[in-house]
Amino acid sequence: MPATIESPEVELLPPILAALPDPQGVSVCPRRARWQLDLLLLALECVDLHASELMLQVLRDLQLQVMIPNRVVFWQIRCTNPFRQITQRTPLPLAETKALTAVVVQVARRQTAILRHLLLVLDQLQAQNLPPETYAPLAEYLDRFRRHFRKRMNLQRSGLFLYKNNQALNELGLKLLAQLLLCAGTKGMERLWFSLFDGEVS
Amino acid sequence: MLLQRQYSLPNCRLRIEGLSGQAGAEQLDIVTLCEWEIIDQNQRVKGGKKFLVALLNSVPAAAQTWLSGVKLRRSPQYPIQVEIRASNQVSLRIPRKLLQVPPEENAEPPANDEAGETLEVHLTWLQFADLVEALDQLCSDSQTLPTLIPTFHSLPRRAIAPAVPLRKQLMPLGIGAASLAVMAAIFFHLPVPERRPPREEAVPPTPEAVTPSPAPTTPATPNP
Repeated sequence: MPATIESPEVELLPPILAALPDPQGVSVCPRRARWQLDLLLLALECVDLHASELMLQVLRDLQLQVMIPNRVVFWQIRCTNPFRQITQRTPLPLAETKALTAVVVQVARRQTAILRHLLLVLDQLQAQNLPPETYAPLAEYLDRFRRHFRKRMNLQRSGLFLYKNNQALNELGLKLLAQLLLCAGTKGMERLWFSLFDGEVS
Repeated sequence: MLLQRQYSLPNCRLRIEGLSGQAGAEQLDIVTLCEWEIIDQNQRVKGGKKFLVALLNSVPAAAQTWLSGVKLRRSPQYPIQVEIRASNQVSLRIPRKLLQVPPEENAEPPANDEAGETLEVHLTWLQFADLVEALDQLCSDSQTLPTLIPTFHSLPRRAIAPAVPLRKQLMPLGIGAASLAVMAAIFFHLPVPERRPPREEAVPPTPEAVTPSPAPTTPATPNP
């Protein structure tokens, strides 16, 4: 009789995701978390034109291709954001949510210098009572953010009705810069991960 | 042995001083001073262990809540009140009992706080992010306070304010009940209609009614 080795089935996760525990009582990614992750990725794309390629590179570097093998799957996962124009109603598993969180944090860490620079200029402009559009790179970021947001998100949804106004959209874009800087910190990944489930755990 | 650790960021410097019980040890056993310097404002806030614990309890939690964007049902009972507003403004209200006030400042009343019980510190988003990062680095440094382990947890559902307030949720129910009551009151005062028996006598048919209608003309069907 041939000898067999029975081992329990263990889900193999890339090592970087080991720091992100599954939240209690939550089996799939909540609606607000999908919106938040997609928004952070959108802001990263607007900060750097090459960010979308960088995201795919990060997926390869972190060995996350088990969950997100190519850009089509990556796009499909981002389309689980309920506020997109082209949205998918399929649930987003926690493993893919962890992968998206890791991508946000890693890309934000690589763009820390740009994020800091834009926020520093914002401080200086506010001290002089000047609008953010006065500085060309900040104006470019805000313009790109507004265009990408309006192109991808469904502004007919009541939750996004506010963002038909340029001023509200600019404020959201600037807030996302600071939030990305918080994600890029030493404990940024854990902070982002646990913030995604605020108000969702029992 | 007196030990000192410093965490420097472009807008913030956090200095921790403490004592170690063993000679040659690199870890702090007792924290004696925590000094937070906001570099752009040339402001230094000093305190002891209680101030450090208050910072560690309040600031990272406020950062996480701001990142999630949820609204809390009631304001958190942290020792330091952190308020992160739109338009690049953050304010921290630190109780003065947590601080070590320099002797030269004792003579003058506090300029930036009317009550005198709290010190209000205004920051920008960038300065706040640097403070959070300095505290994270302190927590992750096993050479300073190894017993200090950063803990994260998501806020429970009961701590979050509902997206639609209860008053708005109950408004349609209230309007419906009120309109039902008004209509019931109106119909209560209307007289009940009396039932009339049907008349026995039949109405004679009018001449127009009995005139025969012309016979319909049917097309002639061809015989096969």
